[in-house]
Order: sequence, then structure tokens, then C-alpha cells
Amino acid sequence: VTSAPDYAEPVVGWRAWLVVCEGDELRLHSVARDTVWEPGRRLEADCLRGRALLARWRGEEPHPAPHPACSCGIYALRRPDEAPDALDPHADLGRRVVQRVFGQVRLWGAVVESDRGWRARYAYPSRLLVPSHDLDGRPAPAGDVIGGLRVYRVPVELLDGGREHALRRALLRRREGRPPLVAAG
Amino acid sequence: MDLGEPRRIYTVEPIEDPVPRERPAQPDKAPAEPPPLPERAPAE
Repeated sequence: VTSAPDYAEPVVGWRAWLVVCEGDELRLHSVARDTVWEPGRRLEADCLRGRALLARWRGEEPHPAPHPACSCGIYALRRPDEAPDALDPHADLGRRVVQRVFGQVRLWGAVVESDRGWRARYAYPSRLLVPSHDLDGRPAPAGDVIGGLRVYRVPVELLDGGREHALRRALLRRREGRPPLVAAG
Repeated sequence: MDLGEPRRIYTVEPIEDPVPRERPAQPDKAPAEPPPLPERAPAE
């Protein structure tokens, strides 16, 4: 017997991605795991915990992600200004990282809701924000990154901000639908 | 990243596909114009 779904609209949350080179193309990449987000394809979560030898020895069974008692699933946050918390500015997961970007993501399938956000089974980005500067305040190749990320077929916008506090402010403004601040002069 | 304590679990089954798909290619050329009507012979 299949139970009816609870909702018919995806959950929309905020998150961060690395932008990495895959050959001549740019791809979104998860910040904490070696996972590439392919354009035009939903990302599906799986749980590695139950597969590990030690977990099996403990009697933990593999389970579909996300599971409420596990930490598996695709993550998204309620507040855009918390998205930079997910980033280690110097972690590259062994990849050639071009830029770190933020944005909104649609989540569906099984969804575990928590205080600060969600973990879900399926995800795809719905809007991408490319900072004009990196987290150290240096100018970033935002124009090239914006062009390269259009392959995801979602809006890709410039985010005027680099250092952490400016970035958090800029992300909050985007949530509220205000136009980006333009520096005078 | 710590999301806090789980509150609840539910299922979402979107009516519309959340993944933007490639649109079917548009024909490059405009549809061919209908052939001209045969000229009518002047009435006699």
C-alpha cells in the first residue's frame, strides 16, 4: 500500500556549493562530500553509514536517506544568512575549486524537518547567487562563473559581497526580495 | 552542519517536475508558405 504524499510543492531552502572544474565545464559540488550536482538531473541522497563495516558490526542496517535518527540526506537551511556557516573557506575536497556560491534549492521526496532547516531525499537548485568576491575579500571570477552555471537552467545572479558580514547582509536582502545595494561613486 | 533536532518527517511529491528540462528544439525555418494560387484567366 502506498501512502499519499503530504505536500505537492517542493520545500525551498538555502545552501552553499563549491564550483569546480569538470573538464572544460563548471559544476556545482557539495561542500562536505565529494558529490557533483549534475545539470538537468535531480540529486538523490544515499546513506553511507549503514554500509560501513563498523556500522554493520554494530548491527546498524542500511536505510533510505534521510532518516530521522541519522545525519544523512541533502541539507538546506531556513535562513540565507546561515548558508556561509556550511563553508570551510579553504576546504577543496581534492577538487579544483573556482568559486564558492550560494542559492536556493528545491527539496522533495522524504524530508526531515529540523529547527534550522531540512534534510531531503531529492534536490535541485532553483536559484544561484555568485559573490563578486571570495571570502577573503579578493575579487572572484564571477562573470565566468555566472556564464558557466547557466547550464543548470535556473536564474544565476551576481551577489555583491565577499567578506563574511557583507555576504550575510546581501543574502538576507535577497530573501526579502530587495534589490541589491549599489555602491555609490 | 548542525540543523538542530528533527521535528517531523513528511513526503513531498511535486506536481510539476522541479528539474528544468531542455525545451524541444524549435524549427529554424518558418513554415513553408502555401503555394501561390493559380492565376485566373481573365473572364471573357
